[in-house]
Amino acid sequence: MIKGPVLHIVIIISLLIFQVAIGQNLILFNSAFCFVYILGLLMLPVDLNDVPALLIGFFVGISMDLFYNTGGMHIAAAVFVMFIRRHWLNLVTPQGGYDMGVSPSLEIGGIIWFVGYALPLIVVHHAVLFFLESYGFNAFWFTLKKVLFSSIFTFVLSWIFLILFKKSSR
Amino acid sequence: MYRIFKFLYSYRAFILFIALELLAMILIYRFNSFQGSSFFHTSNRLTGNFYQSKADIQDYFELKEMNKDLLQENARLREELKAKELRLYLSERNKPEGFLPNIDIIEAKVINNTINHFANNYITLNKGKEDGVQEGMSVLGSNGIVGIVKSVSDHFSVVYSILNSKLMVSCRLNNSGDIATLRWDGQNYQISKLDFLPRHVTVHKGDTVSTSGFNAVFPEGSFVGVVESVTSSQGDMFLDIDVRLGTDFSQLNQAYIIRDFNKPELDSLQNKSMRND
Repeated sequence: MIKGPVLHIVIIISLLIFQVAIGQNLILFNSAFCFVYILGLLMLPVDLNDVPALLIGFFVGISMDLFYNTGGMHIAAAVFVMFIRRHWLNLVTPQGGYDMGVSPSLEIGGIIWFVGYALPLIVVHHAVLFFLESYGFNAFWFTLKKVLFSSIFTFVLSWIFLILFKKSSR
Repeated sequence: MYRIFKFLYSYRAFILFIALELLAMILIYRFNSFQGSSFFHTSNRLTGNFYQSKADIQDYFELKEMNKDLLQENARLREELKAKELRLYLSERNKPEGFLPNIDIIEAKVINNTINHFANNYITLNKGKEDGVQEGMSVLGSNGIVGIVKSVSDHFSVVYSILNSKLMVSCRLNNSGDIATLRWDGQNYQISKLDFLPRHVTVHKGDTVSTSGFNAVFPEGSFVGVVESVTSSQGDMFLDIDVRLGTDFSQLNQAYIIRDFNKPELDSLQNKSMRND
């Protein structure tokens, strides 16, 4: 089975492709947008060094921006999430700590742990993205609604992805 | 030097984070005109407010010059307004018989004026033959009649001021319609005498006096002045009336020369008729 960093790269690239091909047009109720590529960033190993982590976030963000024509918004959001992820992982360390180089997914603590880890990061990512897009507090409530619904939508999709991947890697 | 690099290296993650975010921001502003213009709009508001405060403080130091400029502009605008009002007033005059005045107004600036040469005062205006001024034309000011043109050169003209005992103006009391003659007595540049008003006429202080339009010199109804005092001695046939002139000759700046197109015809007709008598 493919192991190590190659696995992560494959995950990220396939998520990007899914995002661009399908996720871009997947909008529910005019307020729930889909940005599953964030899952690829979230699943990177826990002890990835800071500099590579930020750079990976940067390049993922650039790819998304190229497809979305949004300038630097995804870069800003992705880099921000990568920066926070480090400290956030320390905060949500499960009992017994992390294994070496483990990838934060359902294996660690089940879905409950994953919710505690991924959902806030997803919310933060979407918040940065949508508020940069609206630039200002004019449509504050509408933007907030977008953030919440999109976070839920993205989380559900990433959960589905994890279940799919879990089955295939077994 | 080494310490700086060591410090930077230990915080490399954070510095990289900031650098990448900055790069993202730059890309956003360059790529999205809305965000870019929004940013500049905000910063313009900031700089705008700052410049407003700065200008307010600067204005305070420049108050003297500003005041002077404003006074000059005020004076000029006031003169323009008076000229327009006078034009409107003159053009609206309607003789009862339906005889509309056929006049043209030439604006002129008073370049010389005397008020205290005993009984013979003249005014020099900066308009002359080339501007259409001719001898005998009447001259009005913003507040009342001024005089009659005495002589004309190419660019200038000399006007008999009504403060000149040689000038007699046919006037009408607005209240009663009685005709009298305005003539200056050489005493006060603000007061002129109204002669030949019979004793039986009721005149009060404050009555207004205007030109009658006879002799076709001044347009009919031009403001002359306000009756200041009325006296009569026992044996006199006429009342002794002082009229405070509307025009303030000590401050005369602007005058309007009236060109009456009917005057030559009237003059020749009247002269012919009177000579034949």
